[in-house]
Amino acid sequence: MASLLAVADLGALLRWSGLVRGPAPQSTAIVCPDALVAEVIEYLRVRHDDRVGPMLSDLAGVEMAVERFYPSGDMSATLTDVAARAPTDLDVTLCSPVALAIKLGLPLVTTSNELAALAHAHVAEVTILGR
Amino acid sequence: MARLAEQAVAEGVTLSEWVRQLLDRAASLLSPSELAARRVELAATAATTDEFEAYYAARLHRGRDARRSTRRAG
Repeated sequence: MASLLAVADLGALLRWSGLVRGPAPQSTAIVCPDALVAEVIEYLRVRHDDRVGPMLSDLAGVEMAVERFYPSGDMSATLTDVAARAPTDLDVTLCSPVALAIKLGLPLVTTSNELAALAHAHVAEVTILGR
Repeated sequence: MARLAEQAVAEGVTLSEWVRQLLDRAASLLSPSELAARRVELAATAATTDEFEAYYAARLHRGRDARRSTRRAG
């Protein structure tokens, strides 16, 4: 059954916002760590070759689609714990949705098998979006 | 109401200001039908899953190079 509210990773967020094709989360609403905003901007730089107009337009669409960007500073201890358990080369910022799901006790929706594995033992419900 | 008042205090604003901010935020969010329409609208230009997965995999593992070049503390 779809959750009312879930935490999205970068892949789920971009599908939710319509910027990447593929099945979107089935939740009613999603929340994300605010650290993902910079990751969205980084992705948009690549996607739009640093053209600021399209980047801002897409960014606005993302911001209008997310229920709340949760302050990453409020979950720093949880993120530290997640980072220490993660494979050594896994980027900590992109692991932040796992920490937020743990912190808030919410389901995690992701397009990454690695983040799903990292969340598995600590998040009650993890959904990996198919292609 | 007591719970709302607690949240307002926690965020350092009056209850009326907190409710106003809440309503502003709700008004700026896309409704589920608007979001669905937006996905349809963007479908033609959206990145493919293959394109994004290649980007995401590289980004997820960017710590690899940084680790190689960083001396361990202590």
